[in-house]
Amino acid sequence: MTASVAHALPAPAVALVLPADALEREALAGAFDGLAALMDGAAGPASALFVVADNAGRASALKFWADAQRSGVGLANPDLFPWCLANSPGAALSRRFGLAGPNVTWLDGPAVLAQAWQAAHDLLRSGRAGRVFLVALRLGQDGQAGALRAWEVPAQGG
Amino acid sequence: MTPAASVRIVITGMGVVAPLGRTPEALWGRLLRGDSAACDWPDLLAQGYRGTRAARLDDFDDQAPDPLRRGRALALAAAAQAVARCGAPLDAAAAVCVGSTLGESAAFEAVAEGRATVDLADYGVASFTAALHARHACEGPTQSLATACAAGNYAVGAAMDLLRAGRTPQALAGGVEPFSRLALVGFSRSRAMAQRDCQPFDARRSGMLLGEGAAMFVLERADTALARGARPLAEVVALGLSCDAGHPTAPLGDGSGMRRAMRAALDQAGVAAADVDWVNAHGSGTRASDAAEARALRDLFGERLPAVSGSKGALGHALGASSALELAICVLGLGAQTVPPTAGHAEVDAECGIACTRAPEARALTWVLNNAFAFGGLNSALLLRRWEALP
Amino acid sequence: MTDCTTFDDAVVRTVRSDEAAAAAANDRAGVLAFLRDELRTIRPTLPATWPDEAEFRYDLGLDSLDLVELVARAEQRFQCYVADADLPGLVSLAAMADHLLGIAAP
Repeated sequence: MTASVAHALPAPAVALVLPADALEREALAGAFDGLAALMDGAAGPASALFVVADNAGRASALKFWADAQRSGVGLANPDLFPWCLANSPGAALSRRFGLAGPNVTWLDGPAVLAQAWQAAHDLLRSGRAGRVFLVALRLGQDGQAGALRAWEVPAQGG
Repeated sequence: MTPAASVRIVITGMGVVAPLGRTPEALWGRLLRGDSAACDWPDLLAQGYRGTRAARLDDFDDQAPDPLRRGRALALAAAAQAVARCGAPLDAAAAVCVGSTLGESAAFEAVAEGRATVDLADYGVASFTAALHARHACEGPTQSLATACAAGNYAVGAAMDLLRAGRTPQALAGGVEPFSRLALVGFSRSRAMAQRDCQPFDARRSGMLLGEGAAMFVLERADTALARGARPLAEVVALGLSCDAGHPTAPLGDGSGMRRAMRAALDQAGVAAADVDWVNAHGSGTRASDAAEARALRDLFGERLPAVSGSKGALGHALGASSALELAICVLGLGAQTVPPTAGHAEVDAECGIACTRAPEARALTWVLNNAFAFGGLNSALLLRRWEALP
Repeated sequence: MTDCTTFDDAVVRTVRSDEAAAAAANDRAGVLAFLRDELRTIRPTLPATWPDEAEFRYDLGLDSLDLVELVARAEQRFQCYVADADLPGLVSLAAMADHLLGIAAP
């Protein structure tokens, strides 16, 4: 990792507390308003979304499977299934704000955030995106609240 | 082509663990014969699953004694092959990039059922990356890509970017997915599963079948690979990405997002659509996805469709591993100058209009696109080139 | 309870002798009300009411995943299974209710 990325990221443009133990769908829906000031107006194929997610998909996967055991797997309700995937928050954000450019979700948040920032710069420099939004996401879990931080990665700087 | 993109990245080692073969050669041989790994599984029927037909590894349990660590075992086995075949131990500064959809799905299932009390943070995609990082004593950057059914393409693309940027001298990258009962139920109850077999772009296609497996690759800059005497298997040129931003699971019906991803890969490489010799299609076998991909292919290539093949009729849909397994097929095809047959494709669908290969086709192959499309509308197209030294 | 668990989509039946589910399935008005209520939670933008014969896709603008979800909830409620082959015919509340009444009856 280059020295220019080793420093801490700038303060996020958006910092939200996510409810403890909320499923991914509800947690994201509650965050849309907070993200609107940052992402509204960015719809289009030139807008990329990078998500670094700590535990996305976990809560929905556990609930989906537990419910399937109760109903029987042959009669399980499929509603939650798409939310079992860790990229479901990124997909939801892309739908809400129309971000139709490259869409990437990484896991293992803290170590990867700087890499994602750097990858965003690469994307901008190469012209593969005109704007890149970076979201760091940790869903609430085990009674602890979650957190969402979001940036628009500037075109200049490393 | 941007200056960075002019840095040539090659695959020098490859390993696969797939239902049709535990090595690249074994897989290739069975693909050429038109074999399919899909069969009915009595254990799934006994356990009450609606979909009991799948493409699974039926003799891998000995290498994965811990059922909650099947994915890690797949990753390690595939990576061991790749490293052995690249001709030298991995560079200590090598990066590791792994893609998967659900990680160790069995662990999540066990916790949800109350059968296990493990910390699920240790059973996600990152656990595969960490295991490979440790096994091969790498100290370079790691990336765990959770981009569902396109994760393999994403992981290889991430490795390519790290190499081009000079952030690593070598990379181990690929996709891994152990069989997931959670996914089986999810897709089955979403009515996405085939009534019998997966039939890509076929007039009678009815859905997908679930698979599993792993494919891992050693990637490095062409100049350093050649300097150490390695033999490139293929060149990884560009990864085109887009997002439909339209629906949680269904693709845009007009295929526009898929087309944009393919177009992006070609534009990054400065390659015309007419130059593409072969498209390894995503071809999941569902009515909607195949129709959208067919539309995208026709819109991009017009009347001059390249050869189109798909492997999900043979291997099932291995989710996060699928695009990696199919990348291996692309590499093998480039080496053999042969497009493999598309198991399950017998009758061209009038709506799709895509005539997939039905037998091995010997062709002059230089440019190949490996398509992979995922839940959430994620679209990826990895562009490969037959390796040849350029002046 | 007895279970018939032959998962053959051509002849599908997974029937449990659940008396409450069977009784509910005999009441067409009740089935319609259930389906309507569930559909409104799947798509909160739907109007308060609509004709039973209104077509899901063309009149109500629903997509295949909305309908898959509705069918799944009905299957759980009435302890029955709707075969894949029967899905295309379930074009309205009325069609779906009649189908459920037919397969869920004891």
